Amino acid sequence: MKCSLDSTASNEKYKHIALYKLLGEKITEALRTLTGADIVVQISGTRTIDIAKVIEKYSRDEPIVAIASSIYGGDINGQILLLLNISVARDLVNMLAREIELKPSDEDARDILREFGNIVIGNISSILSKMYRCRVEYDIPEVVVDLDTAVVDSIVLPIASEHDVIELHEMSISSTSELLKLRIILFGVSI
Amino acid sequence: MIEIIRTSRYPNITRPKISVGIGDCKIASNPHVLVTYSLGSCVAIVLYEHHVKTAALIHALLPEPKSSNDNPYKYVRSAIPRAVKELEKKGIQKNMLIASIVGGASILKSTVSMSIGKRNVETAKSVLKTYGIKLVVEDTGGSHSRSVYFDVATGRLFVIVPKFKLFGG
Repeated sequence: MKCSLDSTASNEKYKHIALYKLLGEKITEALRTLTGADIVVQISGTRTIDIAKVIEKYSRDEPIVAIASSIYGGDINGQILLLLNISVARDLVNMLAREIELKPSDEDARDILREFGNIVIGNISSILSKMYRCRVEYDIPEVVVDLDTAVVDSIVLPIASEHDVIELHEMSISSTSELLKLRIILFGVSI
Repeated sequence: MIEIIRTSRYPNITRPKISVGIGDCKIASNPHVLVTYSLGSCVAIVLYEHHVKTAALIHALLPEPKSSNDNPYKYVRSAIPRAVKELEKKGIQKNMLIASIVGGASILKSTVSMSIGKRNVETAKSVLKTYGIKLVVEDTGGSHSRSVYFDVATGRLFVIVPKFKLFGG
């Protein structure tokens, strides 16, 4: 089934601005509810970018926590990547674990982050479904702790095998207490 | 010969290191150590002439090139022939080379990277076979990143699989 963009955001020029505004609002709301922290969403931008530049930009050979999922439906086919540095991920897990009075093990921490990703990516999927007027689904997020270069190339290389440039949407989220800092990256294939 | 040593820590080798970037290849002789980091679905291919202690280390991203103008070292299919040619310029005969492949993991199973890693490894094996270069050792697949140190003097290939934990021991 083909998706068509909702008429309120049909002007191509404003498509991404509208999308980002909505995404920012929804994600902020979800994170505020989950963590109780004062969340600030910074929209870094959306643009097409050369594959090699994506790898260069996100690869510092440092360990990172990645929460990743595929989104698809109609013409939408992309990858969502939430990147957190390890200390931020620990802080986030501690914040969320406090709510359920749990002293987390490594496995618990991954489960908590997977659930966190599920909520954030679920919100993104729901917004895209409304904007594009079709059912947009997503896979259960995966949580991996590994070197950023390897994580990013895992997402980017499959796209690179068919396309030279990709559409990159990026936003960063932080709390005023500096406790929570993460980046959300959506990779879409440019047509 | 080439001996693989799997470890979670970087080896303490004091000899000079030559770093190989993504989509790159370097050739070195004794006493150098060829190094490449953070292989995910990418592959590292070592071509080694153990009598004269000279080696090439390739870090390739994808199996097949899309155009002939692209950087040959980005792609397994074009990287191995180019590296063999560069080795031949240094007087190394193709039939004296032995090879090793490392990488081709699927860090994120939900993406199609699984097939990219696997295809990278399969393509490398196929090209090596075409060139009559014997694959002596490999450390491929799995779901963790790898870094590689190849000690040209000894033929020891250190495959570093870092272990990261969020909580607990």
